[in-house]
Amino acid sequence: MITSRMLMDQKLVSPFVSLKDTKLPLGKFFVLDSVGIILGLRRVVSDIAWIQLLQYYGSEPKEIGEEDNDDTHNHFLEHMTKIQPGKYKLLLNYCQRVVRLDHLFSYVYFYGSSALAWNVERPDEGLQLIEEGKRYLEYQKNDPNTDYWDLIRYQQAIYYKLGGKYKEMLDELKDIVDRGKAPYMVKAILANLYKKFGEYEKSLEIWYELLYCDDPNYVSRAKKQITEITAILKKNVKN
Amino acid sequence: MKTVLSLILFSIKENFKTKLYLVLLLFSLIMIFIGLLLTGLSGFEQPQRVLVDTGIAMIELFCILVVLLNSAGLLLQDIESKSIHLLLSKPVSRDKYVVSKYLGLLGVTIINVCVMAVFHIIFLKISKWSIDIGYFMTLTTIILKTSIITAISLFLVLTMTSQTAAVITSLLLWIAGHFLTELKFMIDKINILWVKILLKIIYYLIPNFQYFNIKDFFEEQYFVSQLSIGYSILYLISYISVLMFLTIQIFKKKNL
Repeated sequence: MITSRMLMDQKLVSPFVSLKDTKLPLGKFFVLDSVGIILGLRRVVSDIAWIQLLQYYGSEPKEIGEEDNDDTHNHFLEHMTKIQPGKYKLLLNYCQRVVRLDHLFSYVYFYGSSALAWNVERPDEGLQLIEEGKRYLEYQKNDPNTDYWDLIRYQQAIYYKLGGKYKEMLDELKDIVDRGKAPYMVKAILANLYKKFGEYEKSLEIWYELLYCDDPNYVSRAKKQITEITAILKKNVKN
Repeated sequence: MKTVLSLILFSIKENFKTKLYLVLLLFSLIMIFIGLLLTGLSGFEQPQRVLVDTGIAMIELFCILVVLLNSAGLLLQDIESKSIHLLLSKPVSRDKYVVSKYLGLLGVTIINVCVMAVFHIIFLKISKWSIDIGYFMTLTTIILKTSIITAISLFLVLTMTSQTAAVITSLLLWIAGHFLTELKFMIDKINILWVKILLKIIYYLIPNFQYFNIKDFFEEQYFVSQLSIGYSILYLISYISVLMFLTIQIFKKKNL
């Protein structure tokens, strides 16, 4: 029995880092998170943490203590691609909570780092999340088609943003979107950035793509944006 | 052999007859349904993952609860109601009785996993989501984990003769079995020799459920491939054999 146990110990590679290296960042969820870890239910608790992250990021930003002038009802649909600097102070902590419970939940690295870098304008926090992700996904390093290398692309795009190299940043984001794993939010961010930099056709192309996605929030946003951009293009042609 | 088979079937029937079983089954089906609601809450961001994970977690929790409560309850019930005297009269020996009780509980676990997995797969199919081999591997490991905790629970019931104490201790061992990476870290860091040795003994006595806990990483082929099926089965068989041997010895010496 002990021999087989020793052999197993030598062979087993755990995907999870020891708790000493992964402090759970949100104290108020400590009990739930700990129960998940000690019962071997990391994935299901990380799913709950993920839903709580979505609820936090989908709700009215309260941490900043300033008046929010947006229409509350529309806010839920709009938050995902809206630039809201300084808001959602705990967004990084919420993302870290999910990935510290389940290091392999790659989607959270993509979603969180993009939201932090482009929506709430805290690219340094986005980079921090990516660094953590790179540490956990290091085992994928040898395969160029893995999430590890997608994280490098996100990191690169954020560095271009910080360096003011917007053309390169757009190209990098385009590459990320073309690879097919990007969340709808990243596509919407890219479309908005194209629009901001006057590349209306490219923006329109992405919104048309989002028009046929399965998320009604993005479909309605796509409809609105397509009408708006088409009007701008028509106006430009007339001029 | 025929006697053992009849005893296994009798044990399975006994399990299904308990009201507690029906309550737990209903509870679990409700929990899988709640998984659907959680999926709704996640909106369009990774809903399949949420539904798959909640379902698998509920299947495992249900199996553990059924095994812990039934193994303790039914065995003591047999002893207290004196019905065990009828069973143990020739030609059923005490070791055959214990082994068939164990196999009966294992049979119940397999049936439970299958029934709940069917419900879960129906929910997944209604949502038009596919499942892969990793899903079925996870279900298999749930059965393997439950087979260890069943043996532990039977051993503890006969050692402690208190249902509550046996259930609580089994549950604590279940928790500790998922926490051994941290214990190993402690062993490496501690410098006091006798504490180190004591912790090492505890480390090897507690079953390491992390070997079978692939539900936390079943989508990552890299980690799944690191698991050695041969060593896992060897570990499982040796651990259960030792426990069953001890359980039989205790039961043989018991004055019923």
